[in-house]
Amino acid sequence: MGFGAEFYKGIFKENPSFRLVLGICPTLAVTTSVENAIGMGLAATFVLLGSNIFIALLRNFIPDKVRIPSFIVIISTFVTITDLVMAAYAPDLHNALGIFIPLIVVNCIIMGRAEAFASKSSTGASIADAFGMGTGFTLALILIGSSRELIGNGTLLGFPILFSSFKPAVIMILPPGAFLTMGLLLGLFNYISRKRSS
Amino acid sequence: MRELCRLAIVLTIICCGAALSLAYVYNLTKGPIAYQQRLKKIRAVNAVFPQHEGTQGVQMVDSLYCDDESGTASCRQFYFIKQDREVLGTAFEVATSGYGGTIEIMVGVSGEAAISGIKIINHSETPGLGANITKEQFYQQFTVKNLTDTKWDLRKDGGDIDQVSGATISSIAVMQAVHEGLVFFSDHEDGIMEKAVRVEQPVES
Repeated sequence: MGFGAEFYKGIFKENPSFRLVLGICPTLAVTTSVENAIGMGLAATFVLLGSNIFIALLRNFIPDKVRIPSFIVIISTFVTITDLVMAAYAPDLHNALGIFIPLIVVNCIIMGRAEAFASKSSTGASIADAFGMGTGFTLALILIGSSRELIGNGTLLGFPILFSSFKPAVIMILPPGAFLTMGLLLGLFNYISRKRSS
Repeated sequence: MRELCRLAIVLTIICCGAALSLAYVYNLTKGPIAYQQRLKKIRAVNAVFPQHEGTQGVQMVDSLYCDDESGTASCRQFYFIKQDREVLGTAFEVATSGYGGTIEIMVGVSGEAAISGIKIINHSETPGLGANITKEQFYQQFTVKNLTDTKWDLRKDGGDIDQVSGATISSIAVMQAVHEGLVFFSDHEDGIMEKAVRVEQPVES
């Protein structure tokens, strides 16, 4: 597969949130606003890119038996770097994401791509895969985040969008709203992909 | 045996590489992170004294006050707003457990030990409910509250503080923390003010 195909598969066909249903914990937890969704998406993409590149480069050097601990060390190094850089240069975003940055370590998407893709593929293909998966994850988070922020708070990116008489349904930015949104969007994606294949 | 050694060596090399790069990034970001944290506090102090911000001749100084009498050696950072040699206001930080974690609040006190304003620096309350403690509406009611004329209870318990609807725990936490801070300040006012007069070096901002 070429660079484009590796990239595009992460956006719809193998979208990590809606098709592979990976990394659901951060997906449900941070998507209370679009801003958080974008921040989490970009942070995860950066970590994914870094870990995919290094794991693909070192794939012949790392013995099979110790591959999981090696992957975890590489991934957590990138997560800590992201955490420190964000705290230093984007403190507001760092504040908003809080605990979810360290939790990228256990995000199944990153471990999953390391194990299923980067450890078996060339560096170039791994970069394309990381960008595709990261973009797919970010878009999925933005989709969930914007639905929840719009209905639950009446705003998008903090700007009021709906007419002032609109009474926000607070449940949408609380945990139940995350499950409702996720469930409906999963159904929609399943419907679209079934229509496409038939 | 040879296989085992190979595994150990590879893992060691990977961990050393990770440690080196982490040490490098840590050193690089240490300064900016400390600076950001300080900036956040200074912004909070400015926010609790809106009447003094940008006024000519007004300076902010800070000092550590240690409560030696109680023997706990607990020290608190105090920020003072000064004009010439006169102390116009004092700000300090209080911390408490809310519903979702620690809430850090900057409290500003001006003459006669009345509150000038409060500002939440950090919190992890529920978005849409407890997080509403950061709204101006909730902050504002604390202005001019003091120890003698204010009943430090929620309105529904016969006090003077309006709670955030649906967030009783968060509201009580903020109210109690602010109250405790005020009590500490009034108990140690002489010692704290002595520090305020002595410190000359303004805070960089």
